[in-house]
Formats: sequence, structure tokens, C-alpha cells
Amino acid sequence: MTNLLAPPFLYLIAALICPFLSSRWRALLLLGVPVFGLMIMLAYPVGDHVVWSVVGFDLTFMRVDRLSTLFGIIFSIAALLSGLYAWHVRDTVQQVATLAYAGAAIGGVFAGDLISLFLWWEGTAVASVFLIWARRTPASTATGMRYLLVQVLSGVLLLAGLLMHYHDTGSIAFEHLGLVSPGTFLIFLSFGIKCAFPLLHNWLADAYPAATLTGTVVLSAFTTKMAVYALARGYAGTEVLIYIGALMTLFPIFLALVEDDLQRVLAYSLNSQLGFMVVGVGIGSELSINGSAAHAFCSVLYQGLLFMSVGAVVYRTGTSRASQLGGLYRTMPVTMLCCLVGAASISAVPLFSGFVSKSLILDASGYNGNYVVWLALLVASVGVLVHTTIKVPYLTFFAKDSGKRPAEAPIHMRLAMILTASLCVIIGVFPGLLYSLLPYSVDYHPYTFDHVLVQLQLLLFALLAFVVLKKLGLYPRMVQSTSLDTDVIYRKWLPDRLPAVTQWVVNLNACARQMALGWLGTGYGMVERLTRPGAPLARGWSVASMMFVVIVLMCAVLVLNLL
Amino acid sequence: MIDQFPALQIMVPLVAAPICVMIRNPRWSWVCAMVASTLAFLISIILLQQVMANGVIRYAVGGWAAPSGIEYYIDAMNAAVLVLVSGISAVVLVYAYRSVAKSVPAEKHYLFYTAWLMCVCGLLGIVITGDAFNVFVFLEISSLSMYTLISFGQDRRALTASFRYLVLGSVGASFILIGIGFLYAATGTLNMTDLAARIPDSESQRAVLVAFSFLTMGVLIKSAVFPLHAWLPNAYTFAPVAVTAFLAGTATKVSLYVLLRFFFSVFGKDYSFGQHLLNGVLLPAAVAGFVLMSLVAIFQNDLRRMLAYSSVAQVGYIVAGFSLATQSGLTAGIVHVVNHGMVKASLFMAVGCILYRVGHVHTPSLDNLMKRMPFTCVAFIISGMGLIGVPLTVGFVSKFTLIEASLEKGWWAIAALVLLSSLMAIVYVGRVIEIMVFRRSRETGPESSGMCEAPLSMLVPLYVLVGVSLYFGINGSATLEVAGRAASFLLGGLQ
Amino acid sequence: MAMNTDKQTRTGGAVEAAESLAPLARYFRWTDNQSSVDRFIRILTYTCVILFLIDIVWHRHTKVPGEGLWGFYAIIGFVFFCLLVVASRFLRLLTQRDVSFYAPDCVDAEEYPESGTEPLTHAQMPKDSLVSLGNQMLGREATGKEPGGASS
Repeated sequence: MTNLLAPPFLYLIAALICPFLSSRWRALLLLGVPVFGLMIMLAYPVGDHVVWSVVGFDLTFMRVDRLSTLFGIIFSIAALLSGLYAWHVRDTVQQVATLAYAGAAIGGVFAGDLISLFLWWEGTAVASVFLIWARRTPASTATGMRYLLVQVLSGVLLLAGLLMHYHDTGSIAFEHLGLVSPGTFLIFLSFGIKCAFPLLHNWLADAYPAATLTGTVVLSAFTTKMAVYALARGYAGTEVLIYIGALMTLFPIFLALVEDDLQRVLAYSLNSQLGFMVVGVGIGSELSINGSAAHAFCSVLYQGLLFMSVGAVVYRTGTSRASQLGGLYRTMPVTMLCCLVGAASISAVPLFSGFVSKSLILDASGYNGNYVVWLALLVASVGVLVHTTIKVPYLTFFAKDSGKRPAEAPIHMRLAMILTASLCVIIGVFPGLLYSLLPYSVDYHPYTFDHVLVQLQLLLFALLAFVVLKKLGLYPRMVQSTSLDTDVIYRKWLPDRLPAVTQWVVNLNACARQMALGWLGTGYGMVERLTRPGAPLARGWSVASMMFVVIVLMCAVLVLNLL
Repeated sequence: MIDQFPALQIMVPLVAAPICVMIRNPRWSWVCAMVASTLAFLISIILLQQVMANGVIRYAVGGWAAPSGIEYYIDAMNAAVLVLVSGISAVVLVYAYRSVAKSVPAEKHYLFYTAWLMCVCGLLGIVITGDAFNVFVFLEISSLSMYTLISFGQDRRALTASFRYLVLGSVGASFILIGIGFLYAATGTLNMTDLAARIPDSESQRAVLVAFSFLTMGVLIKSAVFPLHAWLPNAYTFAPVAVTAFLAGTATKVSLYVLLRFFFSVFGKDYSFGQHLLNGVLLPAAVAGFVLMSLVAIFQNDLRRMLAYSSVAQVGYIVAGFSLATQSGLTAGIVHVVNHGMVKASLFMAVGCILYRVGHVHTPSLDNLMKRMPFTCVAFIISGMGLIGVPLTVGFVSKFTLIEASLEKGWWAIAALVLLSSLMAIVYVGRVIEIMVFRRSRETGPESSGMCEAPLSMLVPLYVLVGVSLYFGINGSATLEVAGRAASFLLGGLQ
Repeated sequence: MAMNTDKQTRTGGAVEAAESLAPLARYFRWTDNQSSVDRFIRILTYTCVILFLIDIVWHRHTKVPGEGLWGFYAIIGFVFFCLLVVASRFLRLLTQRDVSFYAPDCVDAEEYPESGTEPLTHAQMPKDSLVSLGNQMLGREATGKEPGGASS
């Protein structure tokens, strides 16, 4: 019975009873369950708990160690904060989905074997898609379908991989796997989809802006961080991850820069931040794993904060398009300040949370000796500044006045944002609090003079560049548009060309058939000309010609025999 | 008495023939021919039993011992052919009475039956004799009477057909004679056993080779192997249909027997197929024959002509089987000789029934025949399936054996081509069946829808033959065993 | 910073400013004032110069070769910011499409559903007080409007 109080099941049970409560109690449940769950989670001692034997497999549902606990804590905090942020929501579907989604993500983090991991993996996919469908527009339904397709594909790959892995090794334990066999490669690919590796990333920027404004906040916290956790658990020190991660930090910068929809900009910057974590996992040293875990922790907070502030703007203005916003600081100063805190955190301004976590990864990659990757991360840090830190707050709250005078965000949103912002600042100011939670013991001091100096140089000169560009009129102005990503290939180009290809195949078939029939007809005609009654082969030969044949054949036989 | 059976086999039809001439009455001359033919059939069955039980029978004609006198030599091979020839003769004679009565003027009937008996005598003689020159003599007897029989046809074109056959047949016969002459010059003997023994030691191998070439050509002409088949379609088409049935079942088969006898027993397998490039002539001719002639058969509108071309194709199968020169190939060839003899005879008899009632055998006009002549049509369909080689028919037994034999030798292409030409057989037989059974009559007058089956005296022999062929189709091992024994006799040479 | 200064707000005087501004926003009014922005830029420039000069006197510990160069980070920050922005302008030429490009399968082409939002203006909003905040929190809307997000 107490097993059912294990955090993942607690969330699921809450999701089950949620539909039967009144709206006020549902909203309270969204606050209460994460708090209660966090308390239970912290009460578990290190080790394997809640082991159920199902058809000969021991499924471990609570594998508690420092790594999983860290992710469990941040997921609980994210669930609490997004619950507070969504206090106004009366939509049962979203509330149930949020609980189930958070439960599944926490379950995935605590899963001690691949089978239960697979269950939670699919659980996050199924639960989260309702946050997109809850927007209840035709476009969100279609987007949700695409999202679900990709997520379920990831689950199927995981299942296939775990079956092959089990066949190879006879073990379903979810420990370090490494890229050693086809099975582990499939599992890697499955993790890569959820972690939004380059070219597997399209679902992220496609789906997050399509969810409800509260749903986007929820979505931003769980799926990708669970994938980072899974990579850190299964593929720490896999070298290819370093390069994947470096690429992953860089290429969303460009996509985010040209993007008009601020929620999608944030989705791309989330993708870029994931790249930092993937690099950390790929390096695999204690420092870098710590960095990845810490960065995941902080990024849940500051990314959530940014999504919250943009969500609040959407809540009041109905749009998240940079081209339609501007000058909102006049009436939404609290949201603006929280957004600035989030922006400062993401670009690792000293005294904000990003600074204390990103430094770990940057230093780890510097010590690793892979200078190209190190430089890539540095450029990505500048990129974050370009597309998120400056672009999002500046275009939303300053810049050209859009004439909009929306009211300040509702009090619960303000509370959620202020709480999150405080956490960002607290972690930034007292990094020891975060470091004490990290998987490996830490002896790292982010606030050295060197470190602060170079970071300030980097940031302030970038800001200077912004000012200069602005003065020169080179800084681009946003226009209402859609920007293409690589998914245009399968969303537009291929479907557009499909009728032509189909037509081509049909034509080819018709052509080939006609040609074959033509040949057949010609062949038949030749045969018929040769064999129909009265034709050379079928008429009565004259005596002379018969004799001719006899003589010719006689000669042939004689010659052949006498030779 | 039983010792004299080999002589009686020949003497009975030979003596009955002049008796027929003396009788002159159509009915009684038929009875005479019938009795002689039946006796010959019984004798051949007894001989077959003796051979199967005791092995080879040798009979010195007139008591003159082998090298100088003429010897009759009967092993499993020719005993089986004897049964085939005399059996088909007996059955078709029963059938011929009504058929001939309709197509041949009554005052010529006794001549017809006389010629028939002479033909039977000649064919049996070719088969039974163990003397090379004697083969030529009997060949001439049978050929001359065949030309006569063919010329009995109603159509004036029968005369041309007969004449062409006469020319070509004479050429073939003289080739055979030349060949025998060379053999005699090279070895100094005409007895086959002696020939077989002396040929390897002969000093003039060149003469033996020339003899071999002439014999081959002569026999190939007589057995209508493609491309020397041109006499056959017209002859089969315009002869009285009873004669066609008889010839289709026997004449070419006996020639093929001669081919076997000379190739395997006299010259020996190694000589015939060894260094001498007979493979280069015989096998391609046979394969081209069964493919091309099946194609030709598809396009024929005259039922008799279609079956005639099909016959040439079937000869191709048989020769292809012989050309394999293996135990199973020979077995396949011999089995097909017997099986095709029965099938083709019954098919022509069915055609004769149609001709008897409908008056023509133009295939496209035979629509809805099933309604009017159901028994004939059923017989035709069963035999037609035998021609195609549907399982449980004789055609299947022999074609299956042939394919097996060619695969055994590794000649995949031959097997594939056999299957291909079987497909063609499906087309040309199926086309006729489709018209007979499924096509609605264009003029559905009351007179055309009434039943008008052929007379019983034609149907009964037809069904006897169909029944026998069905029996051998289902019990394929019976014929296969005889053929296998014959094949091993041939490959082993004369004892 | 704000090149496109809102003339109306500036000329409208303190009365309108008080009406249309949230209390906290007063501390950010300077962003609408060109001279204040220029002062901000000046301060920023001086700070940057100082930071650059520190690099000369202060010897940094380095992990990566080249890191110790004068103003390495400053140059990286400045140059790459410019490069990225310029690159994005070119990239935009390639990737920009009309919002209806993916329609109807993409949210770009449609408005955010109104049932999920509460588009109040600043003027409609009551002054923040403990009572009004409490009312908001408990869903008792002082403005008399139904709370947003009320669906199903």
C-alpha cells in the first residue's frame, strides 16, 4: 500500500481522482501533490525501492540516488510552480494531463530498469499531448498529432532497443549502456528524439508554441530534461554526444534569431540549452556530469520563467508575436522584471542561476581539451544573448510601443513568476545550495575574479554590439511570418510533391504497360504471321521445298558426322 | 504352336489381305480384316507376356539360322510396340466400319480393308524383324499401302497429299536402303545382332558413318521429325479420318521404333550420341519441333490440321527424350510413344465422330457442340487433357518423366521449353474446348440444338481407347515398367 | 535604446502617465527618453572600456590556449554578436514565409483562442491592494468579469 504513495503513483492517483473534484479543489490538488510528493521523495533512502515482479522481470520503480533525486526535486518544483501559474485554469483535461505528465516524468527519472522506463517514456508522450490538444483549435489538433507521432516513435525505438539489448545481455537494468550494440544504438536514438538532437528536434519548436499558455510552461520542464537524465544515466562519456551537443547549441541560434513567435524563440533557446547539457554528458567527467545536472536544474527554472512571462503576455494580449508586441513595460512591469531575471539567468549573468551551472560545463569542456567544442559553447553563450536575453524582453516590453496597454498578469501568475525568479537569484547568489544536491561532490567556486570578469566582458561587449547595431539600424525588425525549419521537408515539400510523384508512377506504369503490350502485340503478330493457316510454317510445302529441306539437312548430318 | 507366334503375327494379316480382295463384299471384307486384326492383337499380347516372363524371343524364319536366314527378334521394346500397333488397328477397325461406309464408295471398301491389312502387316513386320534388310522390305509394304489408304480420302486434295507423301516417303525409304547397303558393304551382314557385333571392328568406318547418316535421315523423314514433317499435316488432314487415327497412333511411332533400334541396338548408344554430332542435329530439331509446331497448332482452324501439327510436336518430345540417351530419357520417350499413340488415335476418332455428324471440323463453327454430341465432346476433352498433360492422364506420366529426365541430365532449358509448349497445348486444346462447351451457338435453330450423337459402333471403340488411356494415366507405373525394361534392353544392346 | 519614442506619452504630461503606467514602471520611464538612453549607452561604453583595460593589468588563469589574449572574451562577445545578427538577416531571406505557409496545420496561422486568455487593459484593472489581490486569487473578480480560462 505504501508503495502506491511512491511519487510517480501518487501523481497518477491524483490524476485519477482529479476529474471528480470541484474546480477549486482541482487547482489546490495541483499545488498539494507536488509538495506532498517532494516530501515522500526525500524520505526515501538511497537504494532500489518499489520493486515489482511482473512476468519474471523485476521492475524497479524507485531507484533513488543523487542523480535521480536531483531531477525528482526539480520536477516537483516545476510541477508546483506551473500548478500555481495555472491556478486560473478550470480545464479538467489540462489539470489531469499536467498531473499525469509530471508523474510520468518523475517515474521515468526514478525507473531502475528499461521496461519501467519505457512505460513512463510512453506515459509522458500520451499525457503531454493533451496539453496541446487542450488548446482546442484545428491547428493544435494537427500539431498534437505530429507531436504524438514523434514521441510514440521514440517509445517504439526504446522498446525495440530494450528487446535487442535484453536479447544480447539478458539484463533489463538501466545502468550505463554505451553505444556498443544495435540495441543500445536504438535506445540512444530514442533518447535522442526526446532530447531533440539536431534533425530530430523539429517536434519541439513545432509543438511547444501550439500548447495552451500554461501547457507550454509544463511542457518545457519535463520531457527534454528526462531525456537528459536518461542520457546521463545510460550514455555518460559517449564521445559522439560532445559533437552532437555542440551542434545542438549552435544551430537553434539562427532559427531563434529569425523567428517571430516568442514562444518558438524560447523553444529554440531551450533546444540550445539542452545542447550544453548533452555536451556535459558526452564529456562524462564528474565535473561535467555535475554541470549537466545543475544546468538541467537551472534551465527548468529560468526556461519556465521565460515561458511564464511570455505566457502572461499572451494571457493579456492574445499574441506572442514579437511583431505585434512592444512597450508593454508600462503596464506589466512585474512580468517584465521576471522576464529580465529569466533572461539574465539564461545568459549566465553573474548572480543569476545560469552562471553557476553553465560555468561547470564550460570549464569541463575546457579541461577536456576539446577547444573547438569549448569555442562553440562560448559562441552559443553569445547566441543566447542575441536571441533570448535581448530579443525577448526588448521586443516585448520595450522597443517600439505597440499601443497595447494590457493589465498586469493575474496575481497567481505574478506569484509563480516571482517565486521562480527568486529561485533563480537564490541559486545564483548561493550556488552551494544547488551544488550540495549534485550527483558528485563538488569543489567548485564560480565566483572567482577571473570568471566574473570574463563573463562580464563577454556579456557587456555583446550588449555594446547590440547598441551599435541598433544605432546603425542593422538590428532586424520582426515581421509577422513563419520561419522554415528542416521539418519543412516532411511537412511541406514531400507532401506537395507527392501527387506529382504518384502521377509519375502512374504514368510510368501506364507507359510500361503500353510498351509491354506493344511488344507482346508485335511478338504475337510475328508468331501469327509465321504460323497462321497458310503461313510458311503451316502450309503444305511443295515437293520441291520438302526435298530442299531434306537435302540441306542431309548435308548437315553428313558434314557433322564426317567431320 | 506357341513357338510359331512370331511368324503368325505377320502371316495372319498378310494372308487375310488377299482373302479380302477375294471376298469383295464390303461387310465381309471388313469382318475378315476385323478377325485378322483381332488375332494379331491377341498374338501380340501373348508375345508381350512371354517376353516379360522369359526375356528375348528369337525366331528363325523358315528354320534358316540367324546370319544367313531372316531372324525375328522380340524384346520388351518391340513387343510393346506390337501390342500398340495391333491394338490400335483392331480398335480403329471397329470404328472404321461406319466411318468408312460414309466417306468411301462401297465398291472400294474391300480394297480399303486390304490396304489396311497390308499396312498392319508391314508395320508389324518392321517392328518384329531382326534383319536390317527385312526392315526395308516391310517399310515399303507399309508405306505403299499407306499411300493407298490416304488417297481414299473424300477430298481431291487427298491425292496430292498422298503423292507428296509418296515422294518424300520413297526418298526416306531409299535413304534407308542406301544406309543398309553401306552397312552390308562395311560388315557383310544384315542381321542386327551381327551388325551390332561387327560395326565396332569394321575396317571401313567411313562407310559405317555414311550408312549411319543415311539411315538417320531416312528414319527422320518417315517419323516426321521437324523440319522433315511437311508431308504429315496434309496427309493427316485429307485422309479418311479412320486412317488418320490409325496412322497417328502407329505409323510415326513405328518409324521412331526403327530409329531407336538402329541408334541403340545396332550402332550402340556411344556410337550414335558419342563423338558423332547427332546431338547437334537431333536435339535442336526436336526442341524446335515441339515449340514451333505447338505454336502453329494454336492458330489452326481445322481440327484435324491442329491435331496433325500437335502430332509433329509430340514427335519432338519423343525424339528429345531419345536424345537424352539416358535410362530415364529413353523411358520417357518410349512411354510417350505408347501414350501419345493412344491419345492421338482417340482424338482423331473423336474428330471422326464430329465429322460423321456435323460434316466439317472447322473449329470456330463447332460452338455449342457439347449440347449436341456430349459423349464425343467428353471423349475429346479427356483425350485433350491427356495431350496437355493434366495429372491423372497419360500425358502427365510421359511429360513428367521427360522433364524429370532432362533435369536429371541438367538440361534445364529443355525442361523449361517442355513446360512452355505444354502451356501452348493448353491454349490450343483449351480453345477448342472453350468453343465446344462455353460458346453460345450463333444460330440457335431447333435443328442445331437437338442431340445427334455419333453411332455406337464409333463411340464404343473411342471410349475403349479413352478408357485404356485413362487407366494407364492413373496406373502410370504399368507402362513405365515396360518402357523402363525396354530402355534398359536398348542401352544394354542386343543379347 | 528606444529610438521610436512615444511622442504622445511624453507630451501628454504627468496626468496621462499616471493613468497609463503601473507604479513599478515609473523606474523604467527613462527608456523612452532619448537623452537618458544616450546616457545609458555612455555608461555602458565606459564600463566596457574599463573591463577591457582590466584585462591589461590583470593576468587571468587560462585553461584554453588563446584565452589569455587581451580582450579575448570581449572580442568574442562583440564580433560574434554582430556576425550572428548579420547572418540571421541573410538567413531570413531564405526561410521567411507567409504565416499561412503551413495553414491549416500550424498555429502560426490562427489566433490564440480567446477562451484561454483574459484580455484586460490596464485601465480596467483595479488598483492592486491586498483585498483585490485576494479576490483575484480566490477567483472573485472585482471587475465583475468571468475569470479567464473557464472552459469545460
